Amino acid sequence: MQVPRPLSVNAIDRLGERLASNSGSADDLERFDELRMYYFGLGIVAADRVSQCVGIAPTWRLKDREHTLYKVRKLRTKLSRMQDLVGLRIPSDGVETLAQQDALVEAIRACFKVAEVVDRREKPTHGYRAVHIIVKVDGCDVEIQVRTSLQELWAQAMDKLADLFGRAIHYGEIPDDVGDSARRAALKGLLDAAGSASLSLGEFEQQERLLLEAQRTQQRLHTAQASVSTKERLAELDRELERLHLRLEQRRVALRRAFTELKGRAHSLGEPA
Amino acid sequence: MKYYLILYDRKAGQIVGAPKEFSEESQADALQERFLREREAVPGVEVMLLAAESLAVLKTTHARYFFDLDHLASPKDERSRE
Repeated sequence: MQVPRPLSVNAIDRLGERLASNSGSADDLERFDELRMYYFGLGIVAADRVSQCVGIAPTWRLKDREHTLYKVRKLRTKLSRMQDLVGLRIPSDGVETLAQQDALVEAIRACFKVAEVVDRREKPTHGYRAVHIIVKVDGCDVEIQVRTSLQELWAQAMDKLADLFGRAIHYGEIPDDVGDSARRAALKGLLDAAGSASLSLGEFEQQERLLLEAQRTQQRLHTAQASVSTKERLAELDRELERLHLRLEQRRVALRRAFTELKGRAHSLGEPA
Repeated sequence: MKYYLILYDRKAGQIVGAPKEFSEESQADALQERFLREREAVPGVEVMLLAAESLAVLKTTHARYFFDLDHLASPKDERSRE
């Protein structure tokens, strides 16, 4: 149901500013919905392409009006430049390791002529870790999120806090109106815990990356011709890498438990006292 | 691909009513209803139209709309029951 782009870039930005400042008219709301209808078509195209190209059906959504205008108002994002008006998400089930995440990102990137990879594992945004691929469809940005299951768990905990206390949480702020001092302290404690959890995940991913590189190097050495003594040494290294791998998997389980608990604590804050 | 219209009360952390499912052929109707509901919605209620192969997949990628506290301890177990 693709329809022509209804407005110029300047007109889109002016529309966004009018609506964000609550000075928009009923006509503006109509124009806004026409624009989103256009983006809806882009979502269909992007999701179909990923499904056919990678063999995984993403889920996707058109950003809701209130959040869209929040970004224009609070973050001064130009409506025409908003990269996540259409957001696709790849199911994180089965995306446990960085190697799996990397492979998926590469496969998706290759499906589009223009695709920019934003690696938020290297530069997390207020603790948020993931890989986003910004692809162009009909000249417009569409965001595709690829998360490991651990990154997903962490993001869900923060989503919950943002539901309860406002979207500013996502941008590293604690709103003024969170409640009494006890509730504020509880929220602060939870945000600190979330920050530490993100750092722990970052350290874990760094170790995972190092192990992956060591395993690849080891693989190359195995395929090269080697003396008996070198082969014995390689076998020792194999055993050492296997021990490191097991230790890393135990850590992954511990992190999953900690992140699930974090999510539970975030939900508990929403329960009546 | 199916479409699910969801009204989500952010503070309560719960979906208002049940998700309304639309077929791929009804995507235009789904979008129009979403826009209509958005105009009628009270502040704090998010009106979302989510596309997925099934509701089960959607629950994995957009868990916050679906899981209350009881489900959090073992979300994968919960999903496997579907």
